[in-house]
Amino acid sequence: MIKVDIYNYEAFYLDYLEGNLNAKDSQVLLSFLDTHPACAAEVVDMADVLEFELPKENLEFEGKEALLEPVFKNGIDKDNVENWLIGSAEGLLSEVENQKLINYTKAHGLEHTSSLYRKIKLQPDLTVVYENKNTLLKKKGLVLGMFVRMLSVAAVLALVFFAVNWNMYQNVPQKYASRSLDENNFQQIKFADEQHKGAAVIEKLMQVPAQENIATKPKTTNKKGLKTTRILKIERLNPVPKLDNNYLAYITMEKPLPELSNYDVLFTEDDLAFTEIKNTEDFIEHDHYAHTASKVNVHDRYKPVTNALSNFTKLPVSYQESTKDSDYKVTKFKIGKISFERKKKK
Amino acid sequence: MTVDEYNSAVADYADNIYRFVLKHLKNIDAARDVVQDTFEKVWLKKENIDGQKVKSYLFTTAYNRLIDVVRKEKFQVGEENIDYVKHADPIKNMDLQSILNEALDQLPAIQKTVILLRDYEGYDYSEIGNITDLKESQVKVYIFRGRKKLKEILVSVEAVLEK
Repeated sequence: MIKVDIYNYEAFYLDYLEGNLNAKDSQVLLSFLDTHPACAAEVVDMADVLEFELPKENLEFEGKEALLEPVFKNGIDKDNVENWLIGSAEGLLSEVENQKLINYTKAHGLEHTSSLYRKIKLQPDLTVVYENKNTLLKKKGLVLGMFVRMLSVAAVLALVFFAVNWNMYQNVPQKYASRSLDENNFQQIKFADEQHKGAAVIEKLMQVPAQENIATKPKTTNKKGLKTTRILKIERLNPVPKLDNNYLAYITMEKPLPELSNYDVLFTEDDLAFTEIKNTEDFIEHDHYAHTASKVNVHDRYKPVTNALSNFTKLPVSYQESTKDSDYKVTKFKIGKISFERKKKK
Repeated sequence: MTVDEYNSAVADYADNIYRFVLKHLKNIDAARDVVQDTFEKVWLKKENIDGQKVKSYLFTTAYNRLIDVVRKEKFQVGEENIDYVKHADPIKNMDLQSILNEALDQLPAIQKTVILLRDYEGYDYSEIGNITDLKESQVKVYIFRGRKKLKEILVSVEAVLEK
């Protein structure tokens, strides 16, 4: 039920006049007006207002013709001849319609108007040109895109490097605490792992003429085509665990040594590199080496990997380890101009 | 659209769009900005644009940008903005194209647009409709009205010359 007051009675009264109030609400409204004569006086004329209508005017839009789409179905007359002339200039008329138009214009002296319409064809001023076209041109491929691609390749290679080679080379070399070569071309590999600590494999590297069959097996051929012989010899340092031939085979197969064809091939940049040669006490106890022992510390054991990667990518690749930081072991991998760094707590 | 197609579009249509826009704005800097914006937008959407239809896409983009400049930035074509060298010559020294170009400026913008697209670029009514977002019949009406107005101006010029 509505609640009528002095602020809303007019709105309800309009609803009442328009028949939008139900009987109950109407009764509420009329009761209010009975008790509020001043309000009742205000709404007396409202019924007249509702019936008020604006007087109709006979205004007409005279340009309706101009709004219509030009059509050429009807005949030509003075009212539509200009549409026909424009249609002709626009190429919208058939041959028959054009002939019909020509006849009409001749008959009514409209040749000049016809020629004017045919002249109304704007020509671009070709001397007006956009002078900064070069700034709009785009280069093929983006520098950023190339960088991203390079980065992607580098990231993949780095992943391969770390995932595969890290495990391969990280674990195995730990068995070899050092590799040494004496002046008689005997190489010593010392083991660092607990099981074989103190043991050493001594290899004699020598090159022999192909015709001579003095070498012990296995025989290999180096890159230069020369037959080479690897003479393996096991020496034991004290104290040493037992080291048998099976273990030797195991070492050789799982972690093949670089091609031991000759001295030069073994220690090149394409292979394990070394930077430091110093006398060592390791061999002194051993009569065979006591007088000439020297030690070659394997410094960059990832050289074969970085070289292979460099050959593959045609970019300089390097891998460095740094232990200068007392708390961390820092490894830095660089491919081209992009480098990755890995910090591992010691 | 490939990079090559885009660059070809720059070479082929940058001038056309520039002329079209300049005819409306009468301001070299504003017209250059519209051309720049147009190609920038097209470049950003190049993946979705058919290289064969790039001209139409460029004109549509330029037209919309033109409308933006005129409406949103309330660009007024006042004397201070006109970079054109207006013909100071008497009418009798003007050729037909010059008179038509002067007359063109007296047309409402939409009539001017459709006539320029029709005469400069040779678009048909349907293509103009696509560019200006008008029905083909509306385009036709605007072109007819514009032509009538141009003809009236030519007639009045002739009347001046005959005096």
